[in-house]
Amino acid sequence: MTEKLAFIRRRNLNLETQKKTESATLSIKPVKEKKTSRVLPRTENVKILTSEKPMVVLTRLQSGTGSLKITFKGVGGIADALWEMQNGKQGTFNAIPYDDGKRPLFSKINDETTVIGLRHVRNLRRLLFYTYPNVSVEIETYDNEIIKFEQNTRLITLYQHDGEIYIRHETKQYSSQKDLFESNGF
Amino acid sequence: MNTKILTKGANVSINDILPGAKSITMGFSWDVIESKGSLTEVVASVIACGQDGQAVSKEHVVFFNQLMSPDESINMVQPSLTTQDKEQIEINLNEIPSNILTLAFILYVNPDLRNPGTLESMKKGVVKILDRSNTEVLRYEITPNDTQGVSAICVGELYKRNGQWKFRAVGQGYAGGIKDVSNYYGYSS
Repeated sequence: MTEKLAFIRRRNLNLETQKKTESATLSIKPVKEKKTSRVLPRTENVKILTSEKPMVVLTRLQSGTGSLKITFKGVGGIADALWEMQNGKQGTFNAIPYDDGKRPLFSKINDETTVIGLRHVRNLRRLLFYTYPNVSVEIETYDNEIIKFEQNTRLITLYQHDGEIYIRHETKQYSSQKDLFESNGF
Repeated sequence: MNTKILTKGANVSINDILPGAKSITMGFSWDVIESKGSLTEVVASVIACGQDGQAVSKEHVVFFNQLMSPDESINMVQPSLTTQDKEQIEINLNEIPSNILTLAFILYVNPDLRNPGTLESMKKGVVKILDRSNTEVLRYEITPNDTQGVSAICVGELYKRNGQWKFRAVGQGYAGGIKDVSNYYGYSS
């Protein structure tokens, strides 16, 4: 039952684009969002992700307002990027750019900068950016909070859970694109 | 029941239009002009404010990614298919804590860095109050003058005076969009 309500809630969030095929007319109250008892690392406390502090969690306002600007400075920038939506649809940066409401989920605005639109963030399950070595990475939220990464970062993952985006820094190197895909369930 | 139409600045007592109502639904509808580029994405939200007119907390900003207020008196709900509403917000008047005295209803353009557009591309913007059967009892139609050169607009306020909830059509625009709104209502993310 909880899973069903959670599904209904997620479905509610894409109202502008969803096809209204259901015949039900009753309003559906969203399920209560989970409040975690543990303290999550937030941007006011975590400014740089390192091996010791590899994660930061954006608030629901930061996760659902405007867009995230990700800057990759260094030779090559992003080697690859993978995305997965809540409905299980998957793709890569170049092959299948996800598009919702005539606005791609993410796109390059110049050689160094990628933008992730957040209007449909609840449809997103995860995004993975695999970078070349020694690439300097920054993520900026709409309210100008900047998250930096240790220079040895190779994989940056963004997971959406309950409306909050969890950003992780990983240093693992992959032997090939196939290794990257398979190790991460793509 | 005839729908009461408000003009900018006018107000009405909820008890006058819905006597004894314990909850109301706010409906928001609009069209966006199609363009060759990215579509402007309009978002509806509500900010619960205290006596000082400021947001009680950032958790008291309810929108598609924060579906209810901490006290659960304000909820984003799925719009009834019997209406043309893009978004609906259910307000349980009896459950609103005593420290919340105003609810400000905001429409804004999602500030995507990629050509977000402005509210000038929004047409037929309407805010409504609906009863329990989703019948429209009040409406305020947003005019092109309200949205000229702005990316966010406070379309109306539900406020408490002498123990009674009232609704006022506001139509106050914000050129700086949701950032200006958050500054005005004193919350940060």
